[in-house]
Amino acid sequence: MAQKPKRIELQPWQDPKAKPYIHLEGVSKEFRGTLVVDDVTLSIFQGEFFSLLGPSGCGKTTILRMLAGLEMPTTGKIYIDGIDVTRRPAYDRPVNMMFQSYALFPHMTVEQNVAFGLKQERIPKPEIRERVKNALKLVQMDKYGTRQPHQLSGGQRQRVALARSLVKRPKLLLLDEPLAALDKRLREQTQFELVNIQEEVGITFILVTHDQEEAMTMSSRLGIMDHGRLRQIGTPNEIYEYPHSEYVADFIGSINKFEGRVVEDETDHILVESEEAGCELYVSHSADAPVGSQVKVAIRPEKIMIATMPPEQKRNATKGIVKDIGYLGDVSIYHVELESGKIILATQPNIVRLAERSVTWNDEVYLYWRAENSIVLTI
Amino acid sequence: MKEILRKVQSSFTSPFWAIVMPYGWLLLFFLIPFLIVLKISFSDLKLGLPPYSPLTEWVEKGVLTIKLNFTNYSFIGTDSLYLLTYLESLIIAVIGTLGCLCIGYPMAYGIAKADPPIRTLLLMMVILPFWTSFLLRVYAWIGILSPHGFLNTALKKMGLISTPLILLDTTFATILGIIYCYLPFMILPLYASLEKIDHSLVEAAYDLGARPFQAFLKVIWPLSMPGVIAGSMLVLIPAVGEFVIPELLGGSQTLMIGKVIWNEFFTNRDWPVASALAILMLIFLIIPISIFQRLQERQVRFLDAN
Repeated sequence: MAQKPKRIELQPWQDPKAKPYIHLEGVSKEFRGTLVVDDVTLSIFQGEFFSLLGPSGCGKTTILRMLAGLEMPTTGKIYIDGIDVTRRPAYDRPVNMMFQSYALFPHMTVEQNVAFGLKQERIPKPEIRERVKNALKLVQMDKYGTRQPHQLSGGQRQRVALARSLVKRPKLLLLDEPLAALDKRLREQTQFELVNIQEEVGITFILVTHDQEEAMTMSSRLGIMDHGRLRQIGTPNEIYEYPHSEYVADFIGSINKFEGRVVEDETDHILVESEEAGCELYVSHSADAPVGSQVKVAIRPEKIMIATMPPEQKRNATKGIVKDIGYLGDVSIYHVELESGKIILATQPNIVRLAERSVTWNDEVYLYWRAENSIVLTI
Repeated sequence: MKEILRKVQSSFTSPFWAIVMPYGWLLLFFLIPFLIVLKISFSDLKLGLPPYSPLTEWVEKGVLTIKLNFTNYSFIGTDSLYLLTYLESLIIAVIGTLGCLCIGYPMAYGIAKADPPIRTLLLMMVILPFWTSFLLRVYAWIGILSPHGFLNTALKKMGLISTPLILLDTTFATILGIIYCYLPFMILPLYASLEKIDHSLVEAAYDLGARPFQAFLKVIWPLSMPGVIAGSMLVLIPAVGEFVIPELLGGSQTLMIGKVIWNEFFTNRDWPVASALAILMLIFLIIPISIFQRLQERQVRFLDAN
């Protein structure tokens, strides 16, 4: 087996001098009076695997289609490798797209499908044959070249669609929900394969998905979209650990939120008084929230610790009654009702077997967490 | 009593009836008339009613003779007029079919791409001419094409011509009439197959670098083939045997087999020859149709599999 190329730590977005490869400048799109994409500015760097994540109808597919040239922005500009392509038609862009339905031509064989794009460029025949062969090999479909698309399974069609869009060596590959039509197991397996292929070919990928897990595992960075607006851009880790807004916090994973009033806001910490939580909430970052204003403090369920004895800390510690336990095998989700009536989710890894578990229904438990693990949400 | 009713009811809904109905229809209205015409084509011309001799005769007790008269067929072979007529009918029908395809394809494509409410309206407009009599519509073209008709008057008033153009009673008028009358039969199957084409296939073609014309040639056209074949068959077959249009618009200049059969039947009262002509036309048509049919079946099967 060939040595897998080493993963390069790629973080050009942190370099202020780095030139973006794909750049959207104030792009908006209107369909019959409704604003589908609302003033999106976004820079993507060469070799990135960028995901646009959001619920259906948030405008993420429209952004993809505008990059492909299948849709023209109402206002704004699109640059690819420094060139303004805003008004260029789809057939004149160094961009290829993998469609959600795969859009394989039903009247052509697998080979003819993959060769289609190369034939449009009037590339000599022997070269076409060679490149088609290599592209099919890359997706492990080289044995199926003479088949018709209807003779393939969903996963195989997906691979052919990928080969077809990669064979032209585009500057940018767009993937519209590429795994949505696959079953769960195949999806998980394909996720990693896609990332490996991306590293191998070195093409910039932009993926659109509504599946947060997919976006988290595959992307170098992701953008969260809502109602045509980009809410936050960051690495999967940044998005998960430091969401800027309640929307982003809610969208990725589950999260507990306490309403409260700011008591102190210093450069290194913020103190929030919350009746809902039943304790003072100490967060070790500032939030630019004036004293006395209402904010929300959020904490992820897996960051909460459960104990049967009161912890030493007084802040970030509360107690409640276990109402429900969801057993997921690897972890259990505890639904704990606080004195304020608020239900808090806390996940605990099942280090010991179910029967040996110390906490059970209707037990009084103490919940506590570390100050650096909670976040203040001001929007 | 209830029991019997239920039995009758269930027997009508059984698969047996589902097969018997269409086959019965074909037997009654296609096969039997065809056999009658076939029979007449092998008989002798006779003065009287019916104007042909029977095929079978009891010569003496217990002896039945069957007399098959092939002279009608050999007569058609000796007169080159019939062969030329067949050829001209075919040429006119093919030109008419191509005309329908050229005009019908963009129309069907436009309808298939229109928004659903407008699409229904456009389809209604395609079917609308059927609400008036076919004969009347062809007649209307006489008013348009005649030397003092609408078209010549309009052209004269615009100063484009000084003497009227001879349009009526020409082969051109016949082809025009065929295109006009059969256009809906071309548009509807074309629309049906164009409407089924997944638009993302066309977008994929653009995305892979195909310009609009290439995308049409490599993706839309091959995928609309079932509609093209079905529409062409629906126009070609009746157009070859067309009688009304050449009679009204073609004058004496156009010889089409439908007109010749009519003349043999009603002017010459030569039923046997007329029947032989009809049988030969059927044979000429059946061969290309069955080839196309097989092609189309393969296409449809293959497209359905996707």
